[in-house]
Amino acid sequence: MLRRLRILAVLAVTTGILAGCGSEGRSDALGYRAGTAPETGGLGALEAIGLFVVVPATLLLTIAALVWLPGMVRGNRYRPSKGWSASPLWFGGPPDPAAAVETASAGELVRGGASGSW
Amino acid sequence: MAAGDGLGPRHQERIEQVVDSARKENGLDVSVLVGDLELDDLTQFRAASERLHAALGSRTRAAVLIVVAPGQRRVEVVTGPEVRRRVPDRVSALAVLSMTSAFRGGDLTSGIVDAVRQIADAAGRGAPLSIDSSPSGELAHRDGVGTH
Repeated sequence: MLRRLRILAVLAVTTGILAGCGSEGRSDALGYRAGTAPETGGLGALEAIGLFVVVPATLLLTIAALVWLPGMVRGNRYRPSKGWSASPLWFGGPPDPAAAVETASAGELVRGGASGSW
Repeated sequence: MAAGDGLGPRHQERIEQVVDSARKENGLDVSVLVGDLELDDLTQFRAASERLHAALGSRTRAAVLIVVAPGQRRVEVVTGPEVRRRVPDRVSALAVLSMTSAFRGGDLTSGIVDAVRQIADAAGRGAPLSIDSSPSGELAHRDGVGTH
């Protein structure tokens, strides 16, 4: 559910941006030819940096954040290679697990089951 | 929380719920131990798991114990003699298989929850159990688990 919402959010943001880029009218219609706008000196250095560096970087960071944040918030994900430091938890175990384990011996019972490793 | 720091409260809750429902809906005594065992040698893992199964006391004959050791990357299903007809080794093997593939992908909780459901489904219906147990007893001393 959360995953689907996140995918939708990323799609909506990127679609919006792309649609915005494509919606500029043809420059012919405004009475001047493509290229430098009349009566201006073209892009200034600051404008150029803003347009070609700051805007793309902001977009990149926004999209990256949308993708990475949920995983970072979730946090304590198990990674097989990182080992495990928590003390054992016994769900539905005996009332006093430590004492029960202390005195237990497997005995003669024939037990079944299965093993696996990963 | 860093990786390997244990299960979060919501994850613990999910495991408690599925264990609980196996008892109530299926009358199957399932318990799940999540943690590494103190072992000199991983070949002793099965023996240590059987000893843990024995630690269930009077429940041991009809109990299913799932031992998951995330650091040692081992999983073991141990079934008591009286429950082997309801949960044959074939079913245990399937549950182990689905756990190892989930664990490899980093999802401990879902692997455990799905495995318990699989085992409970295979066991079918049964009279609800009421067992005096701690919902998730923490083993106070790590030395308490494993070989002696």
